[in-house]
Amino acid sequence: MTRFAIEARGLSKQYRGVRALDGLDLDVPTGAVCGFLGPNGAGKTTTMKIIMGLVRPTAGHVFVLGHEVQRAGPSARARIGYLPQDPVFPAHHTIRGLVSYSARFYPGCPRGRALRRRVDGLIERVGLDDKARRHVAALSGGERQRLGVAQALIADPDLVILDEPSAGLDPAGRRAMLELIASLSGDTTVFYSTHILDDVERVSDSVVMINRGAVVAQGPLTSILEATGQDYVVGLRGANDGLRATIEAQPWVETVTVRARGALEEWRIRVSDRSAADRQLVSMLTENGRHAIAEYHLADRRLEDAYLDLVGSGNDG
Amino acid sequence: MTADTHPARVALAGTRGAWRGEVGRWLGWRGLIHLALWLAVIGWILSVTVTTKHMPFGGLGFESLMNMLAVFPPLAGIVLTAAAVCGGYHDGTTAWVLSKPVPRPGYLLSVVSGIWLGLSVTAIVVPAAVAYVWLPRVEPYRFVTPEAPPLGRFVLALAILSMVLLFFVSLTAFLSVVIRRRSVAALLAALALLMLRVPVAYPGWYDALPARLIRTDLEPGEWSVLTAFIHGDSFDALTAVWGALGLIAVFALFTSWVFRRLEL
Repeated sequence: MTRFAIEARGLSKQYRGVRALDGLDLDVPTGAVCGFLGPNGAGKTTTMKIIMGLVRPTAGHVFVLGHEVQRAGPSARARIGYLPQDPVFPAHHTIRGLVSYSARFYPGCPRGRALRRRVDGLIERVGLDDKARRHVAALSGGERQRLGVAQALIADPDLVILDEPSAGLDPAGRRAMLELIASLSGDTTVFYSTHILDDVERVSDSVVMINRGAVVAQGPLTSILEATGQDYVVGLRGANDGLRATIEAQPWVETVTVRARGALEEWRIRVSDRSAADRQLVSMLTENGRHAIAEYHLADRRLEDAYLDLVGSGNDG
Repeated sequence: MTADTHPARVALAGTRGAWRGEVGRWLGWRGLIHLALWLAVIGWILSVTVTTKHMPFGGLGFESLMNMLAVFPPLAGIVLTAAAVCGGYHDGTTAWVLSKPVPRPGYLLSVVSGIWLGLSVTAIVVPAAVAYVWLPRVEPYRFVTPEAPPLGRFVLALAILSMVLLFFVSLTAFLSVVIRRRSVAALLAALALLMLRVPVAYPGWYDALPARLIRTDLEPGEWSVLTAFIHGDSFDALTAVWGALGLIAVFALFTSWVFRRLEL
């Protein structure tokens, strides 16, 4: 088994003067549930289409489960399940018919009764069992999304690639989708794109962030959160002449923001080195006895904070 | 699942899956509708041609049949192929199929062969079989003998018409993959059909095209190549058959080459 289910090196894609991908390097660990984040137009769907062989890169290589996509052709997709963005399926099939039909493309997929059992199991798993005979053309967007997941899983793939799987789902559907993704963890590598950061925090163990066609951060979720800085929240009483400048001058301090909160001043100190901050910050704050610390704690670092730091706010690719 | 990833077996399974999907459609409502449609259309036109006493060419049963089978199935094939290839490209269903382990040439082959086989059965073989039984009983055709033509020659003529259908389906597939606009591709293919039916000039090189098999610019009293053949004449359009087969191969190669590079 390869260490990484997906490896991309120097991936670039140009569309008539528009650089959709710009030297993207990507590593998705085998067995991980990896969230793929980025603003609109960052290159997420383009990356996924290149991985699936639907689009050819202008430069670079991508390996999926040990196969180089450009060379291996259909073999590279034999162990992959894929849900495209805004999925469209042949309209003449029923839900059950489409999932069964999807199985026929894969060698080694069960046939006959075993296939029927698997199809029924998947349809039930995605919550469409009461609509199994409905035609695809009559499905809502959310139902098509769920059908898309079912057809992606029919061949029991080693890698599942989902492009915006929660799009169009109501809250209950979204929760069910997240549970499904979480249930795949371990046996199957899941690589999915989303705009919903809460979802990534809930089910992902690794994250890739992309902006303007290049990866800006990737790795285990905890590492991403730590690497992008920690915020100490301090409530101070007393004059702070020069204290702010002293703290800002420290090499392990990134930013200091101060706002009034009643009788206190609330300081939010972003640090890049937590151990240095733990050793020095309190003593600096209370030096000379001019200040009293009414509050001192480490702020919960959210993925949203890290995302905005790395990608920027309103910074559409 | 430990999937079989041997390249040849993967490609074969994917192509087979795509092919079964495309051909399978003709075993359902689509096939029934086409069967009913072509039986009705061809049957109605034949009955008008053969039974109307005021028609100047009344009794041209098998000639009418060959003429219709040279036009209607290719036209239908053009429309269906343009819709399948261009429509699938634009609405995303082609991309969905090709996200499976299906080789691109295999997918195209399944689409083209599905339409070709489906129309060959519903628009050529079945209506022709009905006419073969019915025409000699209605009115003797005005040719050598008032008998049904030899079955072997009749079947061979149908095979040639099916090949003509394949010619236009593969031409349309090529145009559709290159142009990717349904109406334009269909229009150009239909124009080719028209030009081959009514060649303005008739230089020698036209003998190498299917024109020789489907042309309508006949002299009075002259039968088409296929009608003459089924009634006992020798078949003198072999060059046209080889030429058509060669062009089908050329279209297939070019279409496959372009389709491999298409971004979805």
